Amino acid sequence: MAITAKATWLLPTNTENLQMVLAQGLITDASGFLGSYYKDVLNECPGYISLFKSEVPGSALKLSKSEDDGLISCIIKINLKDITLGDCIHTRCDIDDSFNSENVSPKESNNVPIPSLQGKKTDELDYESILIQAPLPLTCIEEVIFSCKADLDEFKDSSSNVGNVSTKILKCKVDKKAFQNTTAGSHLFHDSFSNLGHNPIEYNKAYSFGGLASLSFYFSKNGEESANLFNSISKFTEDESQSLEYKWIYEYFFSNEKSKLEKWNAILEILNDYKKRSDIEYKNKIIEFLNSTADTQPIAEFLTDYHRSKIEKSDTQIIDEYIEQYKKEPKVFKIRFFLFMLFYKDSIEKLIKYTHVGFREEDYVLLGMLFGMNNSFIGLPKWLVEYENLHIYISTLMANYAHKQANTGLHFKEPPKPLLLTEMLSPKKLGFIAWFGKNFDANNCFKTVMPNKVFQCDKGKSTYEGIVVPECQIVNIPFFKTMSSVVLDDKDYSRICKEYKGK
Amino acid sequence: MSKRKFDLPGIDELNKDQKAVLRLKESGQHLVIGGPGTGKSVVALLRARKFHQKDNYLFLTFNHVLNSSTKQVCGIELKSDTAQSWFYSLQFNLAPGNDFELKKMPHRTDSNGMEIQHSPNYDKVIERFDSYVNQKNSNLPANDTHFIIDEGQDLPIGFYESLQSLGFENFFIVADQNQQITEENSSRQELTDVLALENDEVVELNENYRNSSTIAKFANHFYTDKASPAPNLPDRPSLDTPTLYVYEMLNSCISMIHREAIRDTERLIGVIVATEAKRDTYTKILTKAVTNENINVSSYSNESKQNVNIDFSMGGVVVLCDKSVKGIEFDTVFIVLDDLKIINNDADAIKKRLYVMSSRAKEKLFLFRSAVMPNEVEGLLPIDENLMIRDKI
Repeated sequence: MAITAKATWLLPTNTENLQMVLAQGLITDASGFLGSYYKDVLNECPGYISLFKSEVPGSALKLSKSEDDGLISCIIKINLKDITLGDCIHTRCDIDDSFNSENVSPKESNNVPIPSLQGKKTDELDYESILIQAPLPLTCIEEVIFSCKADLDEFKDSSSNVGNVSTKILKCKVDKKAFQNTTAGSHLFHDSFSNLGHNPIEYNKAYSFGGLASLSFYFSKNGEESANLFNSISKFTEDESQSLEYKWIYEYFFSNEKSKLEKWNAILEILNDYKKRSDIEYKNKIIEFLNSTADTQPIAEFLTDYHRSKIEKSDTQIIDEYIEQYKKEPKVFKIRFFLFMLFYKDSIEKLIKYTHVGFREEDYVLLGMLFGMNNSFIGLPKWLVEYENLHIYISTLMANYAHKQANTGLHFKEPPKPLLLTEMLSPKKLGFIAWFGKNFDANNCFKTVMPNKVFQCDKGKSTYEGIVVPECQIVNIPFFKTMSSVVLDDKDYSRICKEYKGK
Repeated sequence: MSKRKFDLPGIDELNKDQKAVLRLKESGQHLVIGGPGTGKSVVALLRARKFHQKDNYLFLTFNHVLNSSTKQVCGIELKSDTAQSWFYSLQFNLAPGNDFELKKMPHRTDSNGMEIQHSPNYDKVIERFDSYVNQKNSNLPANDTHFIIDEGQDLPIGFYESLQSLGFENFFIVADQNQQITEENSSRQELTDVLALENDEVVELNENYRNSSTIAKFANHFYTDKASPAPNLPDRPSLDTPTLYVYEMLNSCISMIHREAIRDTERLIGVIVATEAKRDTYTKILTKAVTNENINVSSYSNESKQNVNIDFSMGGVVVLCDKSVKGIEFDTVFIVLDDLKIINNDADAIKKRLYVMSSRAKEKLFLFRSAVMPNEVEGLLPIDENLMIRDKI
């Protein structure tokens, strides 16, 4: 069922946690935070997000500043209308009358009923607060409320001073009254709540999936094959026609069956394991894994020597050799090539700038997927996150992926997908294609097709009877060659989208 | 050559201590202590960005190279200077009229009564400054300036007292006592006292973010002073155990540096030497080796003063004497041990230099030593192979 809540649901927190939520792309309980987490209600009930109806108890606001006086409280107004519920939402009962982190004294420790709201509309129930299983996507953030303008300014200022917090999607306002409630309200400091069961969420995998999906979206600029790969992965569907390498990654995320490439899943596990985005860390773990079996030790030795600048061959020579080998043996699993690239180009920015004449469309997307996994959503360049609609779209993908894997039954309606370049360049959009061809030096990437109608030659010109509209089609090879060497930042992408919508 | 820039840290890359520093009040006096790689300079730069729009700050560094590097990569038109240059100008500009004696910086004198160059007599400076304040000198600067001072331990306490005598009250100093390499410097306690702070008001940054664990462990091998906290060692096994290469031919070293530079032209590679002569030799040979390639080799001599002809915003190779490398970080560092000598049996002084040199490396650290020349320093290097590999080239 879908919640049609008229009630306003509020999440009190602090700006440090809000920044982390924006950077990681999901509203999570405390366990989902990838960096420093500061105490607030997200730590109350593991696996759940606590929301208050209409007003926030003063004690919950106090909790959000309890770790440090310098923290700034804020209230996130949550919109639950686009959620399909499973058995993953509960209500708090009025079981206690204080909300005080310093004096937690549950009155009735084990016998508090926790009614499930499945099948019910939350606005029909007179509960002061609910618990909903984490995570929630950023589309649920309706607005953020600050107690004064100085706090709002400080939040915006400090967000601009870090590399991965984009506030573009936020609507913010100042409402002093929202922070003036001194009543205690209902709360969760009770054993029954802290033990409330939930389906564990694999946050690392969800964030990795977000990185993967975002980079596949980025490389979808290279052509239709790339766009198809992005569409497959974002719809969680397997495409039988895809390569061994794509299936390897797909199955890791979506299949419970044992893959014949399962041995190599250790590499994906390493990329998936978020701790610190240190280049050295993932490289060391890869070397450790490769050294664990005799047949992969030579790869470990090669990569170690390469890392220590002992290999005298140039990088281009090394890559050329891989490409030649895979041309001769197209069915060989290209793991050596991918591992080399993970050692050679150790950041998303460097991968994005890199081109090689021997690469195929799929190579860029697959590398993007691996690099995206390795960096997670939080490690994406800010300009990519700021692609129109990407932040909220990928956030919803991650949330749906996480809930699907955990089998919670929660599902979120997808917001508009960021526009794919190849979709924008649809055959009828002649004006836009002409603009694109001119602005990206890509006229040779298109061909014009006239309809199959009778025409006459009139003074050297082909003339048709009536109104005949030609079509412009992408010519795959030159399009790929041109676009694979173009770095499209958020300004370019916005310019393209704006022009597309205008024409 | 490829463009490099100061990447703002991700929110997940800042720990709670660093975030607390960023939340410190805009006004007042603050002291942040931490070892190399703990993010002191990062929080200082982020604080400067905070004041940037209001234009009421000055970012001061100890040396010209650090000032130049900071300006080039910080992503804003940073209002910065070296502390000494700025202080000499301030003193000069405050002196009324054209009285040369007053415009000239009073210097300390040695036992023979000779002036010690570049060593202001701060007691006399303070006397002058006090008199300017009493006379309500019209050149007195607005005292609401926020001073952000990197490597604050390298400036003598008189420097701070002089500024305070002019009524300046807003200081944000980041310092690491173990990186002192000047003769006139300030201890942690002196800095705490001059800023009138309680000991528990000093913020300590302990976690090492810059180096891999093996490089951090290697640098800590030379750690000599316990007054400022050594950074906690991250639990990161590394491919990059520092390696000492004993070389027969200098060309082998040059080839290795060249290879490292050409692999990734965005990387900044530091070649750190002990003497001006070595700096000159390496600069010349490396420049020749990369002719016709898109790699920049640059260098800086102390004689060049503020004319730092190094483009830190581009990748490439930078050859520097160890006294010029403070505060700067490189992706890869090659330390040339030849010519590094223990003077007056003061092994601690060499250890401090090795600590500063080695902790400049973010990812890879190599040391070179000639197989034919005697070397006084090798005895100070770690024997444990987990800390340093020995190899020949």
